[in-house]
Amino acid sequence: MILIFSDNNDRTTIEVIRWLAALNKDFILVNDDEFFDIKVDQKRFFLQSQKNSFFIDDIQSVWYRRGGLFFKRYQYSNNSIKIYMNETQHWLEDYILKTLESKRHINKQSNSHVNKLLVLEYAQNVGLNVPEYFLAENTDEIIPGKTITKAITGNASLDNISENKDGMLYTSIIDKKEKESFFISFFQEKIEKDFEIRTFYLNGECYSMAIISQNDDQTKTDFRKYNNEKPNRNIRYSLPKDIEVKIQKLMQILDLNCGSLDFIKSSDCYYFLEVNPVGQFANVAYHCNYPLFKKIADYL
Amino acid sequence: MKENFGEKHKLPLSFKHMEYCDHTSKRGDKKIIYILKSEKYQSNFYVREKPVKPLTRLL
Amino acid sequence: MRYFNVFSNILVTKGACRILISDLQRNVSELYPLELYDIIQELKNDCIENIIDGYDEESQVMVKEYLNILLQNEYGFITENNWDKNFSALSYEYDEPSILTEIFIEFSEISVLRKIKRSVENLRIKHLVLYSTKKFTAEDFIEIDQIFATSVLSGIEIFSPFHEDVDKLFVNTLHKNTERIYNIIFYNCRKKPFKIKDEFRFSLYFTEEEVKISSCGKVDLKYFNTNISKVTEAVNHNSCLHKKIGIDINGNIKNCPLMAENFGNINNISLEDAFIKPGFRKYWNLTKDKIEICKDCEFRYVCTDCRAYTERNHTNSEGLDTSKPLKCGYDPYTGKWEAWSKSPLKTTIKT
Repeated sequence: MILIFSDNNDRTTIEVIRWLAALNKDFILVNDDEFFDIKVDQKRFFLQSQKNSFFIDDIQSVWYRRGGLFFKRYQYSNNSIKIYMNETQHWLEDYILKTLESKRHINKQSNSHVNKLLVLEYAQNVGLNVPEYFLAENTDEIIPGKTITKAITGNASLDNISENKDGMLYTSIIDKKEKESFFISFFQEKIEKDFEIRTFYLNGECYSMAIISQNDDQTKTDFRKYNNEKPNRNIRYSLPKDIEVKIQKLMQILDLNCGSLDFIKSSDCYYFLEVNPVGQFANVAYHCNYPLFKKIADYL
Repeated sequence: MKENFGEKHKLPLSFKHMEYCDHTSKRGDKKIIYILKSEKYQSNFYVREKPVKPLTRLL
Repeated sequence: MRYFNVFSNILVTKGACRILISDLQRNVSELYPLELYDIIQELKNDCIENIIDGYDEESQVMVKEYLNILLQNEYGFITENNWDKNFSALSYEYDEPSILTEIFIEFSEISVLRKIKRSVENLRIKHLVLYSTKKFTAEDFIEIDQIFATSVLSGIEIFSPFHEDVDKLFVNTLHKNTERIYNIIFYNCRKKPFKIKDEFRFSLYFTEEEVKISSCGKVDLKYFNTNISKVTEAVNHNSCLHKKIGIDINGNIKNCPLMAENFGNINNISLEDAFIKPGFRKYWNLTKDKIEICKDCEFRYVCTDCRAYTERNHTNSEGLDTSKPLKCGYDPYTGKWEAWSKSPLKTTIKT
């Protein structure tokens, strides 16, 4: 039995499921709105939610796509008892989570989000080029026009920051020095890019796509700002072997067997930007005609 | 936008360059999709799709 | 030295007298003269300067213009010293997890739909097209949609004759009570009952045409489309019959309701049983490259084949009909479209 954790509206999950069905592999799809009770039946651990139930030892492989395994915790009224029972339940949950993570898997709940600052250090350690970066509370070290700032969070959007509007914190160029200081911000050398590369990594294999925005001011700094008039060119790309080897090393250090990596190509240099363990890769599969959904289904 | 978003504490420099867009429900570009339930795929978010090619050519 | 790199998702299809350049990302195809094909081939083998030098003065102007066209349309890009070998070729493999992707049924009675429901699940069919000569009531539409609730079908298309009861209220009832139907065509409609705005959860068409099941099989520009799924299927398989199944008005299971050969009746066997019968899939890999005349046509990967109505003048060594579709008026050798229905050969198909 394959266990899949996802959230309700992830279409990539369905594409993989269609392949699981073709391969006659049974699966259980767990959504992020499910809460599980831990039970024991005839000496075997059993999980039960409003929708699904299964024995832990029936699970052969796990795909952690989004969402996660969330537990129902019983609350006790006596304070001492509450503390004790919280810890007891914690250890049971911890046991379940770790046992599931020790099975064959694609991604894990425990490291589905990475620390961008650490990742950049590890990347440099394995020999990947990383645009020079630093953190600062003021613009003293900034070279106007040649420095960008970006978020260290995974998500760059602030929903409903004000009436009916969402705020987007895209990567942006700093044009002038600021008089005032600010909260610790991440700064990085602005690289004159030829194009960007998105690589999907799965168990040692790299599947890359070049994203070429021709003379497109709108998308020059951040390709997520889609230009719907003339969309970027999304083209199959092969990274040089030595880069792929370094990617493997980086992913091993991060204990990730799957993820999306972003690079910038500038002249002969490949600059590593970031890795997202659970990023979108459907467009890489579709535009480059890579059989990624089938590969995932094959592996599980 | 209110000065520093009305916040007492400092914010990262990115906030000075924040861009706004209409809240998700009004984002024009996004196509409407119709959601179906599929028992076999265990999904409540099975997307209704038109075929990628004309299946018949009757007209 | 400058080199021209064609983007790998640009497909150049050579026809007898023209070429079609298909942009598989932007989903458009454009026609160009044959000489551009040769130039593109040259650009794959030599640097731009050498190529231009190889032409006389007059032709050099032409080559430069073509280069401009290629750049303007973003069909490729220029690099110094050499081609960029990191841009690998696109794979044209087509892989589809469902056993069958579509079913085309000539509607006789609702019980047929109930009968096939289980098979649709087993075969993981994605689309259902229903052609009916019976005038469906609103309840009929809703019942049909209901049969496939929670199924693997991701879309239903229905052709039904127009009748007086079909008004805005009728259509609104369908809008509120159906979910899988994405397209409804009311034919035999003399006068549209109301002006259609983009307001329903399905596409809606009223046509005067007296659409018959035998009307199918037309090959026309309006049915051509460009996208990577469709094109990769067409490169590897028959663009109409691959993973398709049909049921005719008598319940006979066929590759499509208009084909002659049948593989059993739905009242006796299941779709799965018909599918495994020898010969059911024999046309599935007959690509346009193996069909006479079509193999020299620049449109062959963006059009949709028809094996039901053909000119019936070629058969291959395996006994498969490899003749050009009857209802195609295009002649790739002249580059001209003609009304196929007027050709003397074709007058017999007027059922």
